[in-house]
Amino acid sequence: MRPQTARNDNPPGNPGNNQIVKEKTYMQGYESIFILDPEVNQDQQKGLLEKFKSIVDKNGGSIVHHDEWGRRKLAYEVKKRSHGVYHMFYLDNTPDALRALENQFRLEDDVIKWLSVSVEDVEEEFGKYKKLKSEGTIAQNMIE
Amino acid sequence: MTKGTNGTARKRGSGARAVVPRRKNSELNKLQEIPFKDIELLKNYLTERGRILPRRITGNTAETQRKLRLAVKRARNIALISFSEGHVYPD
Repeated sequence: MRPQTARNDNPPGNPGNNQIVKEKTYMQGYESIFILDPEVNQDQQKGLLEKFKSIVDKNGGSIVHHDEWGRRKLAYEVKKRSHGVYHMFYLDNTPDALRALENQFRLEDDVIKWLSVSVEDVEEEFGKYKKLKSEGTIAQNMIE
Repeated sequence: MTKGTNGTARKRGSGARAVVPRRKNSELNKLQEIPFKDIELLKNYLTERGRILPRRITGNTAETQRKLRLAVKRARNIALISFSEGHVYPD
């Protein structure tokens, strides 16, 4: 999880007149949301998360943040289930790790659906997500 | 006699035209990006059946509408909002 720096916006013909360009540090990465079967118990869930983590680590990536939205009602039935436990990973920019993780999602019966999107700045996205969560937008419909 | 929008003949000036709430500006236009996890926000731009409202009604710009489309599709994918509300699958 090496922080990357923003592109130097100096035009190529003008290679920096010894002026320090104000660089914004950000980290590109991925946001991966996955829904677990609500039937899985706490221990199984823990085991699954450990497994995902080790897969990401093995492929040279790292999970920057992990958060659980908790059990909530799905907008439509997925694999005959009307509820699901939402989890979210913020990963660093390692395509191999994401590919391996998604492969594992595919194999795992307890993962009923997932969605990965790439994000410009992991920390910023996480901050936005935290804000949404604290406002209760995400936590709604949790119990039903 | 002029033709009504629904194809039926209608007398000019008779009958109340449906009043569509129009907004020149949409709140969404001010956002840099639209968070797909914010379903309460997205629901303002969907019909009861879960379809995306046209921008002539919401006042979104073309750019905003594209961002909205992406956000709605993502939210649908991860089962936060439904593809189609009120549809019952036949057994």
